[in-house]
Amino acid sequence: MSELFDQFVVEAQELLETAGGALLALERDPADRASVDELFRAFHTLKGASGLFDMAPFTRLVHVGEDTLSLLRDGRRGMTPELADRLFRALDQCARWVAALEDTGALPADAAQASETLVRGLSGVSAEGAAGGGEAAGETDAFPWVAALAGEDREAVGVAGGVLTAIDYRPDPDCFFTGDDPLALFRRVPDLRWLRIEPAEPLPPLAQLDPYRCLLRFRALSGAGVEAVAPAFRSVPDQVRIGSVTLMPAAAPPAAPPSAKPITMAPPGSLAAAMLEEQARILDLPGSAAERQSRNAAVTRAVTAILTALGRSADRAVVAAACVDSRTLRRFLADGPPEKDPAEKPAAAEARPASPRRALRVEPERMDALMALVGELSVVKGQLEPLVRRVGDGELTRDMKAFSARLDSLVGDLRHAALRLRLLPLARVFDPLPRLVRDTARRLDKTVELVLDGAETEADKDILDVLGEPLLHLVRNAIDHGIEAPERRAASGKPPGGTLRVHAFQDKGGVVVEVSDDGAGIDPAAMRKAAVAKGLLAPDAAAALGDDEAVRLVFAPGFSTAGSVSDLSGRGVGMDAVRAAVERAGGRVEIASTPGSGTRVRLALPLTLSITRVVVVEAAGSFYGIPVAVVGGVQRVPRAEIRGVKRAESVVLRDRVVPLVRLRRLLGQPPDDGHGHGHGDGHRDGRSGGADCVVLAELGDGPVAVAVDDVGERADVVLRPMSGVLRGLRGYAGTAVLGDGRLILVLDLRELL
Amino acid sequence: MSANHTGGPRVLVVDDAVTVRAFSRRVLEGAGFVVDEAVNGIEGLERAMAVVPDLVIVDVNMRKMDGYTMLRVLRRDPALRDVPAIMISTESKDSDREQALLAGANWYIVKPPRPEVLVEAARLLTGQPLTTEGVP
Amino acid sequence: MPIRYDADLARFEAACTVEDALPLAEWLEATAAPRVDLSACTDLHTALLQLLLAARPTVTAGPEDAFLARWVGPALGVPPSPGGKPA
Repeated sequence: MSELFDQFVVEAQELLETAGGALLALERDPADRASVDELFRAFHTLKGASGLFDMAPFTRLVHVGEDTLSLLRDGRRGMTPELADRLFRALDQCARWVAALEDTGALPADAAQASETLVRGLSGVSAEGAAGGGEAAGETDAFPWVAALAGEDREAVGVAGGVLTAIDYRPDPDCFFTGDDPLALFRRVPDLRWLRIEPAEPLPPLAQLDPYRCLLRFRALSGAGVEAVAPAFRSVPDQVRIGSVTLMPAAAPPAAPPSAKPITMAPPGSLAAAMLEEQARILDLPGSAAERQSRNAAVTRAVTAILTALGRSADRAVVAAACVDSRTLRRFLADGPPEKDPAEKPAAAEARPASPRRALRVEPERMDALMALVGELSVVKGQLEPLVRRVGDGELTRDMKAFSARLDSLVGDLRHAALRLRLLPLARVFDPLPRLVRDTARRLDKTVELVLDGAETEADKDILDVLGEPLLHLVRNAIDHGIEAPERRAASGKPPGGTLRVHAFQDKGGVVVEVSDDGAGIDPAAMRKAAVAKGLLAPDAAAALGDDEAVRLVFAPGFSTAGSVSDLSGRGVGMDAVRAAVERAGGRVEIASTPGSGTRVRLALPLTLSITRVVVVEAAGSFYGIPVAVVGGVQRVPRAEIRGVKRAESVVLRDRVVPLVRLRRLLGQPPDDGHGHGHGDGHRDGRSGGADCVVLAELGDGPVAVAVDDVGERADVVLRPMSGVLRGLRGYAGTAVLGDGRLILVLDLRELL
Repeated sequence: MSANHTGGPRVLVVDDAVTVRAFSRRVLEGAGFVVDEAVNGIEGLERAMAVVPDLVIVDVNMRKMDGYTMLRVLRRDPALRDVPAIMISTESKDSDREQALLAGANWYIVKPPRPEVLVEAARLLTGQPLTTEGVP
Repeated sequence: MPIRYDADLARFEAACTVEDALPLAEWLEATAAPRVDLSACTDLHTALLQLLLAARPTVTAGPEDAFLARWVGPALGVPPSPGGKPA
């Protein structure tokens, strides 16, 4: 049954997510009928699905949730923030339970208690609105099978309307090994009224049945009290549920009118007899002529089938003649035609399992293995070209070149396809945001509207993992520090409710997420003052900072914008941690703020961690890669424009004074003397004429110009972490192999500088 | 009247809960039935028209089209109007049962169904011999 | 030996324990049309009951033990015998 169970876990997760979304929408607009219906249906479906398993506390909680929703739906109860809180709490609890079910296969030990507490909360709320809302069902809800007992079972139990003790015992599958004999325990149950022993899951064919594995489930009713019944199960407290229930009068098919003849064609008390009786009843139901006609057709077919199943001859025409009204049908069923020879019974239908359709799920390790293979393939393919060149000229070479080109494009496509397999929509990291915004705003008494945009943008799963936590922090931070309290907003002529916009899109081979608010913004002057006060900057250094740079100070380690650390965003990651996480993944963070009108934080990340787009640069005859994510631009700068002495050079780029570093120096190589640097045919314009090739790197602390010997192509590479003796080297993100088979070192400029 | 194809009788299970569908499929396939699935009334009708099942088992509460509506439409279709139908629901009240029968159901089962009850009901309504002796 | 096997008939006698599970499973599997006689059985271990539920052999005689007759017999397709009704 584990496949079914897995399916339940997945379905429950989806339903809970849907319910969460619907509840948010409903709280925003209590008149939103579609959301009430959605929410109701989610609870309803959860109730039905969970009922298939032994998880009464879960079923009970969603059942009460459903009842509450039905009051809302019928307008007998209005939506309030308190009610929303309680429903959210119920959903959260269910989500935790589903997680536990996924991990351990069972609800935690305190589930019944937790369920009770939440149920009381919900019913308290629903009782407020509905006159006499609380039903005195005892613990009947925890034993749904009691209410579902069929008529004959109820008769056997004998006390309709009376209080009974229900026992639901699902022995541990390994209990035979510990000497348990579950059946024997029931010999010690006083006043046992009813016992059903059935497989907890369909029993496998005998050949596959492990005789030492207990797959049975026991359900029983006793006329004795809970305290009298419990001792029998003292040795198996974790496998049994015992509770007091009230057996309501049968809701099952009403018995035939006493005057009617008993149906003799089916064994009395059998399901077949009850069904035949029901068919007779259907014939007398009210309805239009057309409705009754089609019902009669269905009844005729059903009766024919039931009689066939019972091994009675059932000529459809004869049955049809009887299916005119309930009296005629009952008479026919009472003195029907003789029994068929049992030998004529058709053989039992054979089981024919059909294969269910399923979505393909791939283990991450296999994905990684595929990516590695694609990487290897690129390398091997790269070695083909030099070989082709060595073959010389001729037809063979031409063919091989064509072949090589074709291989090239196929490998490129393959890599692209493999990369896409790992891409997931950003919706995954957006999903928790509405709830986060709702809870945070409610706690701070602020009104915030969240606008999500671009949830369909795709990025690698690793990137999503990197993005999740910083995004939560940015959103929390924006509500906490950015968006002002309604009064303050009103005083400054803004609408009382703030707007928080989270916008994702694809850009330059990477993914960008912007979090912007229309709040108070960040005051650069205050930032300068705070930096000095915290001892992060000397007063004159602070004064020298431009406004943008002052605002960027929020990302400096140990900095906090608010006067006091609030309990919301002060906990966990700070803005510096946001920056660190994003930069570690090869991305970067930007911030722009206008005092009085809001702040925008922009996270730019590569599309994937395993494939990095780099700019290939050359220094002292070796090739290196610089992640494109940090590259702001590449240009040639005449030496004359580089200012300063050798040790501390700078250059003006795009109207900014940017410090300039030389890659050769960073790598401990001799300085470029302008010629004779390892390249046979390395003639480049401007080089000896006095120009430097400069890569503008946008790092967390600001831009840096990196002078290199030469700049080559941009390439997607599979980045491999440094291993072996190289591991100790600082300044490298890893190694990578270019398409042509050349090995390069990928630089981590932050570490190198 | 029932299966005129080579597999077992064909049962169409209409329920928006994938777990319930999977449960029914497992139980019914285990008993030799061929199972089709649909997630709501509209899909249920489309599926029913396509495969003409020997039995439909319909949930009550589904989005897009509920079970009652589906059964009413089913009963109006000349090719499907006599297909036996079981309605399955979490409600155990008489009024719910009545409503199901009015909509066109032949039988009503309260969720969660016991596997053997589901199988027995399906066997009866499709004219399959009951394999277990002595009805419980 | 609490269970005596006699061609296609197994007779359960007195208290049948979990020790009988494996031989019973093998016998049920090897026997084309197994029949069981539970009349002399006074105690039936759950493991054995589970095998009987899975194999569904013909029960030639239901248990006479009151508890088994009332609660276990019907599960194996034996109608509750009048003698089995508890006081």
